[in-house]
Amino acid sequence: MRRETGNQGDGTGMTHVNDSHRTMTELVGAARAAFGDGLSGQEQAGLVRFEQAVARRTLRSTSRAWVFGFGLCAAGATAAAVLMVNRPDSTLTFDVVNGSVSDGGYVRAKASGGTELRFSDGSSLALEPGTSTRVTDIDAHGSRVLLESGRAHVNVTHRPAAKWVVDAGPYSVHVVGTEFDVRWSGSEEVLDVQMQRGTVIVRGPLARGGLTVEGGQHLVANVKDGEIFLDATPGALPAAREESPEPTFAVAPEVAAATPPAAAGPAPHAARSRAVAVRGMPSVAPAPVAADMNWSTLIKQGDFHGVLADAEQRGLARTLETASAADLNLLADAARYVRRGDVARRTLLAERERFPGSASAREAAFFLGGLAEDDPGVTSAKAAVEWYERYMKDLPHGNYAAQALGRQMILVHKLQGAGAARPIATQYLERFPKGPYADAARKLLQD
Amino acid sequence: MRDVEDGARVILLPGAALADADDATLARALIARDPRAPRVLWQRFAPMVFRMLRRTLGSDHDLDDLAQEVFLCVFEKVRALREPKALKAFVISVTSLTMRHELRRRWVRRWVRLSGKTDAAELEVVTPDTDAREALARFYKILDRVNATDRAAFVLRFMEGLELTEVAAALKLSLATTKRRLARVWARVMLLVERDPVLAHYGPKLVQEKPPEDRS
Repeated sequence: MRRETGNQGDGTGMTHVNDSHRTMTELVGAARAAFGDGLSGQEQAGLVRFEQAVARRTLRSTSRAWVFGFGLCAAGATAAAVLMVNRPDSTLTFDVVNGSVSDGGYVRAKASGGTELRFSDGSSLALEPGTSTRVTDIDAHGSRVLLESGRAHVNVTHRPAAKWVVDAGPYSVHVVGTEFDVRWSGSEEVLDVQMQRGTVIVRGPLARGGLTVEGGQHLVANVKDGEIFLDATPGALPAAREESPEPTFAVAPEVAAATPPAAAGPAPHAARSRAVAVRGMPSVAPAPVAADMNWSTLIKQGDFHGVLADAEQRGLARTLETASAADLNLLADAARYVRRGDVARRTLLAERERFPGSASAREAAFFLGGLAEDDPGVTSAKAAVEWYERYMKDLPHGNYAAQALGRQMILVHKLQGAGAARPIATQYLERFPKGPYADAARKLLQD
Repeated sequence: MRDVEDGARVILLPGAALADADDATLARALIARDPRAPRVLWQRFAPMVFRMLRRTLGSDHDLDDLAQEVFLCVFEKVRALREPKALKAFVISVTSLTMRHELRRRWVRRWVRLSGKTDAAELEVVTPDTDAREALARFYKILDRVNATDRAAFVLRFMEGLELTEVAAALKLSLATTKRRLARVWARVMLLVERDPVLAHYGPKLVQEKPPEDRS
C-alpha cells in the first residue's frame, strides 16, 4: 500500500525530472524523514487512555436505561405520556500522582515514594516504592486494578453498588467499601491482606468459593505451600502503624500471672475463631451433605457446616472420645472456619489429651492460642501468649512458627508494652525477615 | 481464574493469536467487542496514525488527543465496516477525516487570531539539520496556505505514498476529482516554493511544472 519511492518516479509517463520536481522531492523526502514511525513514550502511553475510554464507552452503551411513564388523563383517560429518561452512568476517572506509566500501560511507583492512584469517587491506592500496578478496567461502579508486584494501601469509598477488585497473582480481592493493605510477591507466591476496616472477599487457590476477611483481620495466602492463614486481632497491626506508644490495654501484674492456658478448658459461649488455617482445601464453597461422605471429603468440598452437623448428630462428646486424630484435626479445622470456637477448642484440647506428642497435637497449641485471643479480657490474652509460647517451644520450626511468634509479639506489646515486646521483635526479624509481622516488628524497634 | 507460572496474572492483554492475526480477524474482534481487540488495534496502527498526523500537522503535543479521536472513532464505527480486511484503509480514512477537521479548526483559530502559534514552529524539534529545519518550517508554512482536503491529499499521496485509488477512498472523493486536486495542490505548492527566497536556495532553480498525476 505504501510506496517508499514517492510520486516523482512512479511511472506515470514523466520523461524527465526537472529542477522544480527535484526541490519538491527533496522537501517531501525531508518531511518524510523528519516524521517517521517512532512513538514517544507519551504517545505510547496513549494506549492506556484509549483503553479507559473504550471501557467507558462500552459501559455507557449498555447502561442506557429507558424509563417509560404512562399518565392517564383524569378527564377521559385518552392520552398517554411516554417519558424516556436517559440515565447515563458517570464513569470514574483517575489520576496518577507522582508515578509513571510504562509503555505497557502499567503504573509504576517512583522510588521516592508518594505514588498514588486517585479516583474521582474519592477512592485511592497508595503504592509503595517499586510497586507496579495496572488499572485493567474502570466503570461507574468502581475499578479493577492488577497489582503486579509490591504493596498498595487501598482505600475504597463506600458507595451503593460499588464494585472494586484488586487482582494479585492468582487471587482477586473483591471490595465494597473498605481500607486495607494488600501485597503480592510473585517470586514468593504470597498474598498478604491486612484489613483496617470493612470487608473484602478473597478468591483464589484454596479459596475459590471466597474467603471473607473483616476489619482487623490479617490474611496470608501462600500458594507454594498451599496454605491460607486468616489470623487477626482487630486493631493489632493498625495500632502499631499509628505509632501509639502505649499498649492498647494494660494489665495488672497479678492478672497477668493468672490461669495457664492448659487449664482454660472449653469456653462457655460460642466464641468467634480468629485464627484459621486452611490447608490444602480446594474450595470453601458450600456443598450439600451426603450421608456416606466422610469428613475429609466434606472438607475438600468446603462443607464445614456438614462436618459439624455430622459430629453433633453422632454426639460431640462421644466423637471427641472416639474419633481418630486425623478426624479430630478435620473437625477442629471445620469448627474454626465456621467460627464455632467452642467446638474447636474442645476438639483441640481433646486432641492434645488423647494424642500427646503427635504433630497435630503440638500444632493444636497454635490454634488454641488463636481461640484464646478471640475471648475478651486480659486473662484470655495472656492465655493466648502462653499457647503461642508452648507452640514455639514444641515446634520452633513448625509451619506456624512465623505466625505464632508474631502473634506473641503483638500480644506482649499490648499486655506489657513495647519494652517487653522488642526482644521478640528482634527475634522475629532474625528468623522471619519477610514474615507477615516483619513490618510490625520493625515498627516496634523504631519506636 | 487464570493462573500463570510465575505467580503473576495479566488481564486484558491481547493473546498471541489476536496480536498476530490479520486485519480481517482484528476487525471482526473489534466488532464483537473482544476486550483484547482495542489494544491490538492501537499497537498495530498507532505508528501509522501518529506518522500521518505528524506529517500533516507537524510535531504537536495535540497529536495525542487527535490520535485518541481517531482510535475511538474507529472503535465506534467499525461495525459499519463492510469488508473486514479493509481495516487499514478504514483507519486511514478516519485519520484523514480527523486531519482535515483539525486543519480547518486551526485555520479558523489563526483567522480569528486565537492562536499565534504556527504549525511550522513545531518542526524545530524534529530535525537537527538547520538547513532542513528551516526549509521544512517554510515548507509547512506553505502547506498551511492550502485547504484541508488538498493538504490531506498531498500528504497521503506524496508523503505516505498511497495509490491514487487509496487516496480517493480515504478522502471519499472520486478518482478523477482526486487527480485534479492533486494536480492543483502540487502546482500551487511548487509555485509557492519557487517564490520562497529560502527554499529557492534550498534546491535547484525552480521551474513551474505539472505534477505527474496531472498527465495521466
